[in-house]
Amino acid sequence: MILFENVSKVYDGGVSAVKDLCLQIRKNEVLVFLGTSGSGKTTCIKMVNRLEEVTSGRILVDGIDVKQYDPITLRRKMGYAVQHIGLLPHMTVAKNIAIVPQLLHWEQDRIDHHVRELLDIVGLFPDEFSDRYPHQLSGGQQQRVGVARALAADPAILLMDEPFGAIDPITRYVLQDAFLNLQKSLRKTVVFVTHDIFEAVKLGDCIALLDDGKLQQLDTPAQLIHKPANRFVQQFLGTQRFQLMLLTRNLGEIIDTNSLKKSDERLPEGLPATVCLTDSILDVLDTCKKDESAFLVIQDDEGVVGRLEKKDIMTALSRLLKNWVNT
Amino acid sequence: MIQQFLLRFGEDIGVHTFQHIYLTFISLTLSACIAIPLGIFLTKTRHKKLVGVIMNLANITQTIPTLALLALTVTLFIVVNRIAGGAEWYREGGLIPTIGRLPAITALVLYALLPILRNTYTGIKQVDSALLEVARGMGMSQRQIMTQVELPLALPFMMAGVRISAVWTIGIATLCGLIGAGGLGDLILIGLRSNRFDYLLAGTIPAAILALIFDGLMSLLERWLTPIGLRTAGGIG
Repeated sequence: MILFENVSKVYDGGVSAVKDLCLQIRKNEVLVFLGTSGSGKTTCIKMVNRLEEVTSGRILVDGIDVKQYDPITLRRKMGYAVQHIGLLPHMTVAKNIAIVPQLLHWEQDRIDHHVRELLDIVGLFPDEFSDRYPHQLSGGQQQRVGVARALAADPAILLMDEPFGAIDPITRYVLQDAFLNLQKSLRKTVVFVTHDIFEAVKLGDCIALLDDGKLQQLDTPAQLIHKPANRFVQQFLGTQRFQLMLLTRNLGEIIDTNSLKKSDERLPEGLPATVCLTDSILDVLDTCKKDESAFLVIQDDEGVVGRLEKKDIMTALSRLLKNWVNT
Repeated sequence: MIQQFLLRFGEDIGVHTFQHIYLTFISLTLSACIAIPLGIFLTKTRHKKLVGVIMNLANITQTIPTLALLALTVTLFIVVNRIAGGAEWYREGGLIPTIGRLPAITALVLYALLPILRNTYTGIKQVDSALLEVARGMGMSQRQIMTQVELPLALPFMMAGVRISAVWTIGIATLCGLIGAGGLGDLILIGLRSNRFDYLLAGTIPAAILALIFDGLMSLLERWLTPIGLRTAGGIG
């Protein structure tokens, strides 16, 4: 757990980057610092591993002030992944991933074994990629190596500073999904920085929206979209708020699950498309658009629960939109 | 004809080439031993003024004509002897020899400093600062950053500096014959004084070939020392 207590940061020269920030990052959760450039979000993450020192207030990691740690020990306890990847160009992929374990003097056998595991985890074939150099990889592959490197010493805390910032939207989307899958199994405490609200909503358990060093709102993605705390938050969401709203609401919330038609008759194989109650409305709309039949098969965690006419979905949707616009 | 030439000058060329290589090698090694640590120090020091002062000094050394630098070194040694040994300007068996190899090597070292110093400094400074911050963020100590990130990435630059210095030094070392340091300059000087074209060739050709060989060897070394991940020619390292 990471705790920010009245943290302020003033750079030499008087620029105040972070102002009186209080927040808590719970264990195994992803907290996203969201904001425009210059909002202080990167400073926030750098204060956690003491690449920047706090000017006043304190940051506690597992109950201990970071100032009481030796900075080098502290940093080796946390995985660190950044924008522009930061792979060392003169080291192979395997060597890059092995940096922190090497610094911690792990045995070579253990390192070799672990590097292969990590490459598997981030979806790169160890045999193919271990001995390549960074310049021989695509941007997306480099990012994957960057994430693997951050995970290398199996840290409980991951600091990720716009790790997917410098790559094309399609690859970024793929990597975000990969990250979510990883997080499902690894359950790290993650501090994530981004300027992309869609990324924040998709990846974050909690979002801290910053502007000019001040915390504007600290909430779950859904709350942030549905109950913006002030004018700045509203402006930040802009016209994207409609799309974001559809992204943060799921199908189960807008339809009456009791009204689902039980599928007594046998469904034709493969058709129609299947959606989950936990799928976002945006995804459900996407499926509706792709699929030609008049209804969708609805699933929950345990299996098929029924089917739903597309026009019922539309009715529910229009009710949701009506409510949304009127409030 | 070539056979006759070699028969006549073979031994002279051999001896003087060896002296020449000796002068170059010692000067270059000493120069690298001073310039590389100094260059590294300059990238780390907090006194930005010091960097300017030392770089300017090295620059100025470079602008002094070679011949004048040799003369200056000799004069300087004489002055040192005088201070150490009393009133006489020059006497046999002073504290340090004022002509010969020692002043020659001193001048050559001074001359070879700048390229190595400048390339070491810029080689380390050009390392992407984002990369250094990541290294720090991963928990590398200053020394580990230096040995595992900065130096490997600066090595090609440093080697290029050594290579420039090597080629210069071989050329300049021919002038050291003037102050009795030996080397291929001796043959050239004989040729000039007695109007003997064959002596001139016997000094000039080996000097040129030596420069080419050194350049070739250095570039091989440079390539060999360049981390594989940075080698662009040839694609996959």
